[in-house]
Amino acid sequence: MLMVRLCALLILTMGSLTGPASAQYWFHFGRNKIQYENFDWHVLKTEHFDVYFYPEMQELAEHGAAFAEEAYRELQNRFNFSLSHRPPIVFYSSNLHFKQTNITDGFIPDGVGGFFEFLKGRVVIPANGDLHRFRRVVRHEMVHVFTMNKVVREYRDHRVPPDRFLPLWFTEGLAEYWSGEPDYQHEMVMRDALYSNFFTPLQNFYRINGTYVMYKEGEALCRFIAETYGEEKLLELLENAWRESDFRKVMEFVLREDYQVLGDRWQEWLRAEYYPKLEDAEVPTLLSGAVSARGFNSKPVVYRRQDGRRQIYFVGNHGGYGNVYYVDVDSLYQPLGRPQILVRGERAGRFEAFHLLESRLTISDSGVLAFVTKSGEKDVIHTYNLEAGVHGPAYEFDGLIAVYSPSWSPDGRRLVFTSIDESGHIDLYTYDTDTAALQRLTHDLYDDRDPAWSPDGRYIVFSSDRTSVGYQHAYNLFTYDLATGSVDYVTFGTHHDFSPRWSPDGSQIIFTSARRDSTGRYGGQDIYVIDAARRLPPLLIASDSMTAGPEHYHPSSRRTQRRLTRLTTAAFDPVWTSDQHLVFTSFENFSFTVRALGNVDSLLSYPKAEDVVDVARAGGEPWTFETVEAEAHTERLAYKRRYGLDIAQGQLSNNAIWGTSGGAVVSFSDLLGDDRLFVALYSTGQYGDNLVRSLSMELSRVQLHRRANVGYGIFRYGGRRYDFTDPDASLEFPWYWEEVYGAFGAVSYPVSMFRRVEISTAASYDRKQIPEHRIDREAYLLSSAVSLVHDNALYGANGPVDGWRAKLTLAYTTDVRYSNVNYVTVAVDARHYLRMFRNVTFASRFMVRGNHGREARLWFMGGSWDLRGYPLFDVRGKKMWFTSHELRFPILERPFLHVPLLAALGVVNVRGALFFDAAHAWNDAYHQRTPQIFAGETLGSTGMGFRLNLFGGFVLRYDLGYRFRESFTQRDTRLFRQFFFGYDF
Amino acid sequence: MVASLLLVVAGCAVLRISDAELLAHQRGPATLAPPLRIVWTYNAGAGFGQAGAVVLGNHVLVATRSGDLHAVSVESGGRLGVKSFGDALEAAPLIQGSMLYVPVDMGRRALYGYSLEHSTVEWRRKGPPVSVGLLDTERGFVSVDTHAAVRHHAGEQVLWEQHLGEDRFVHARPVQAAGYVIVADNQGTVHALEIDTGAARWATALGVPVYTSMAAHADRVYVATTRGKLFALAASTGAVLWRYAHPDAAVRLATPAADAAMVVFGGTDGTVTALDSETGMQLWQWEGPDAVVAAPYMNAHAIYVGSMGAVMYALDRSNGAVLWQEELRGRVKSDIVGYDDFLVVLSEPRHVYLLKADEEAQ
Repeated sequence: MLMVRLCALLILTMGSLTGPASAQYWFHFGRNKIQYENFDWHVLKTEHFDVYFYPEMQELAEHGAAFAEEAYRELQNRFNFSLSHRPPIVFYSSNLHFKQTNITDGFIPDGVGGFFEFLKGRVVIPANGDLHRFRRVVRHEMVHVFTMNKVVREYRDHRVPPDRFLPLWFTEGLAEYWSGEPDYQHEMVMRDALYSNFFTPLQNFYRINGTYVMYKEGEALCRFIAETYGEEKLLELLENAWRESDFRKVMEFVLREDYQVLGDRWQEWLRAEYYPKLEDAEVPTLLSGAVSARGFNSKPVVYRRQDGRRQIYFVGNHGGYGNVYYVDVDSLYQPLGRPQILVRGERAGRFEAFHLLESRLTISDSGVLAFVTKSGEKDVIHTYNLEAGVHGPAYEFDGLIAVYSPSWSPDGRRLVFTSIDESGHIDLYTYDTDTAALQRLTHDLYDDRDPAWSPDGRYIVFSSDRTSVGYQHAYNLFTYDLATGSVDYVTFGTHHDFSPRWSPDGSQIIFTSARRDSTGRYGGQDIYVIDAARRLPPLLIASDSMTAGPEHYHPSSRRTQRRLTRLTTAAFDPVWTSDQHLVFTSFENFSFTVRALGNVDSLLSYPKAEDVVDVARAGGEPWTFETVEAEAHTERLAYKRRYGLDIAQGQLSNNAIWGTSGGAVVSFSDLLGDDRLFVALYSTGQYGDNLVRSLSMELSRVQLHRRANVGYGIFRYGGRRYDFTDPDASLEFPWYWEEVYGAFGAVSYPVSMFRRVEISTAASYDRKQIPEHRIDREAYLLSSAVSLVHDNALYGANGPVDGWRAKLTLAYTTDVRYSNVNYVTVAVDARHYLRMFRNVTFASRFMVRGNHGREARLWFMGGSWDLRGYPLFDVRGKKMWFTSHELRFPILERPFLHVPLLAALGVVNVRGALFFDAAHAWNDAYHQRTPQIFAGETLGSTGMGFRLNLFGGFVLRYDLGYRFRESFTQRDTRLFRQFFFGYDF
Repeated sequence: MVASLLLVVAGCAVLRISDAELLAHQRGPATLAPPLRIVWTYNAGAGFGQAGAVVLGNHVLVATRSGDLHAVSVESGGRLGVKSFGDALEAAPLIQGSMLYVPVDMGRRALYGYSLEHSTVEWRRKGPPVSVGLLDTERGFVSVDTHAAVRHHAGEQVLWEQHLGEDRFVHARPVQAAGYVIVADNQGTVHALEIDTGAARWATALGVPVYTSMAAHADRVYVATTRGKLFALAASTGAVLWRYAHPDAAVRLATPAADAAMVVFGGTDGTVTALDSETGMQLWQWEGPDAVVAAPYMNAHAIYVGSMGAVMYALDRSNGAVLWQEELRGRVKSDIVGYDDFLVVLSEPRHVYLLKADEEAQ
């Protein structure tokens, strides 16, 4: 996004140079996408791919390259196709590095596993610790690569235009289906969709387009097609996509089934598969009581305050920003009120973002809460003293990028956590807060997560895929003995055993597990308890930082395991309280809620199932994946920038008044998107001899690979200008001739994700001619500006709904030779959004702008974007103030759910606004009237507006109300109506 | 009747061939030996289906997926004419006498009868698309549409019609062996129909889908499948004589080529496998870097293979060793055909190649 800002800044800088430069057009806000790391990119050339990586993550890149080649071999068969080019694959070692990529301009949230960018066919994937997940994402993106190339080939062969986009559910569903067997998350979502009745039939897929549910339902539909009609039919769908622009007809042709019937058959198939599993399952909402059920809630911990109050803390997002919440509960763990915010997140750089699904909270016995947020280039462990109500020290570590799930030692002195280092390995660490000593406990490629310190302080239990069945993407529980450094099995089997925590007395470990049922499919993710007996067989797959001596072996490797729940969907992160309750997160009706379950003793006495786990069965060799070795078998090269075309766009117009004008814009960038070149040519010449005189051109370069983004370029503008901001031009018909040559430069430095400093300067020769005023003015202009920008606003479909943003700009423009131009600019624009209810926001805007000095330019206002009721840009003055206040509320939310036709028309919502605007523009004296431009009087308007969002990205605006003049002493008798487009301010 | 005049009209382009010219170009199987050289390349303007080119006299006829039928000079590679049929042509046309029968893979017209003598469409047949090639028979020709309806035509007249099943597709060109029309459907059932009546004689369920054309030689039919298996069937009874299972069951096998000694076929894993046609024993297997999805062409000197990596290979019949290779402009996914002293290869994105033995290199 910073790139967008900078490009906009450059363009506007150049745009402003059509006359004496000023900062008046600079209205851009926006958050910053920051390149903290200056990656030393290298290229690994494998048999079919060019793999881009940086040296710190070479081992992971070699695994990733092997995954890509493995996927290629398989997909070549599935697609009956080979690629005729070498797709570029860009790897990052962690999600935090991945967020810095310039290959896409958008912000990348935590959950994104990778993406395929189809313009240049680039695949971008972070490793993020879990090798199996990494492998699956590589395969997923490779399916996209093959799909696009195969389909485009079919289109080209048949000479049909490539505008027949495959539906997203199909491309993503196919990528999921062909990247591996359905995982436990797929089963969880599908079971929930069917049991909670939010399953979306095929005919209504438009309702879930682009959502996580769409991925899973798309995957299920592809599986249904493969199992019912044959695996080959999926490829046939691609091969026949050229036949019809409507993919439904393609499906009917290939599957020879009416679309409606197909959808019905799929539903029946799903019901037959999932409904029998309901027979003895428990619905979380019936089994347990809700602690916090509004919005998203996760990772609960329980704390008993010194005054006896029970409190549950958790991370959540109740419709806006992510926060740490707490709620008081009674002895039965029923909430005593609504959750309150303890730590406000995602508004400032300090608590930039929570890992809502990945990082647990911990509270020491003395009441110090530890939690993790992204804070700049890495994650930081923050502390908060609950008893004192103050923030404590925060901990960050050199070389550790991502940090997850801290857990206090019983003495509250040390923390154990998992972290991804620069190489992409995720391992266990302890940190002594007294001595600042950091110790790495494991050091290997296995995925260690969710550590928890035992009450006696000697052991750390954690979940890991280091199990001997880890090759099958299984996770088991292990203990790390701090006294000896040995790692021992706690559970064993091809399960997903996650989120272990100790019972209050340390004799048992509670955890969640997703396991396959008799059909081989994953069932619900349930809560289990296992004996925490010591002295277990040493781990064969031990970390190289430890030894496992024979003294740890005990003949009795068997321990009892009890299944406490049999849920329809899933439980996460259970906590066993000292007063025998369970607090956990449940997933149901596609929402995550914090829930409590009483009477653990009863659950233990009457478990859903009980068996004995014999961890002696765990043996075998350490597992690992293949690699494509960069040094041995392939070519490893330093990255060299080569530019490829991004956009080429031309335009030609003919107008009876303005004549013929036309031009083209071309942009290029390197493969990593770090370096961008822009070329623009435009001519407004109306007849032959002024073609050159009216030629405008710009050449610019933007470099984004550093934290401070830099842009510079040269330009030449010439031609007849229509510029109502020019102080010398006629107010009624402000045109003149102008010729400008010059160069410019701009730097944008992000202080944090939410704040930045922008500096720009331009030097130019400017000649302006206004024949009717007999003006022929030359100037050698030097224009410089500095801006401070803050933006943490949260966007809804039609504009910001929460947070605030502001921009302060100071600029100085002078004619260094003739002093024909000499003025200063001050501009402040602040906007605040008060979220009154989930869908209701009160927005306020305050703006002051001033240009003062010789040939100072005019500012402008009017129209639907600011001062409503007045013609677009007709209110002008060298100085002005403006304020606007708006109550925004919903009228129709997602009306297409009720009227499907509206989905086809792209209607996303209809919202309303009650508004009040006031402004005053003036030139030399505050009350000096210039009626042609509404200067010298206080204006205003009030009324109501309607906003219609089309296709999620285009907002139509219709306002009606009354105008006020003469400092609100006169009201127009006629209602004004304005129709325009654009987001709310 | 031997065509006295061949006309292919495209706009103002008209092609004429005299009887004498046709007689001067009686074509037989290709006998060329590697190395080869590219004699000419022709741009057909669109991609090609699975079927290869057809050569008649001095004309290479190439059907494109944009619906054009191109006639190209064997000698010069120049365009002799082009006729547009409007909709995609996936399979090669069939020439009988002065009539050209053109199967269409899209739209409401499934089959065209085009008079080469008069340069006009004599008749059209409505129905589901026909995406596989036509089978030349004594009395006419056999077509199979996408709804698995098999028809024996005598010109415009349909002699008989047999439906293989509502839920079936046919992606394999029918073959004639032991007096039967043999058709394989996508569900893996091979059907033998009486050529005179269309009566079903036998059906063999292979249990694996068939998506490529079959090869027939000496009362045997070789059927490649999408899941790594290839079957040799007795054309007279449908009995499975032997079967071959590729080590990787995910591999899609391509249309085979067969003669008395061996059966050769490619796979999507880049392998080309030669089996003993009598026993099914593997003679050799060669592994290339890219998928092989088109039928190879084999003669006494070599086996010619086009790959999805845009490379043409000549392999040694005895051991699969690469004797010669040449890079083309695009992938080869259409069957290679050969006549006399040349091969015709269709490659992406829209190129027709004619190759001959490179005598200088030899």
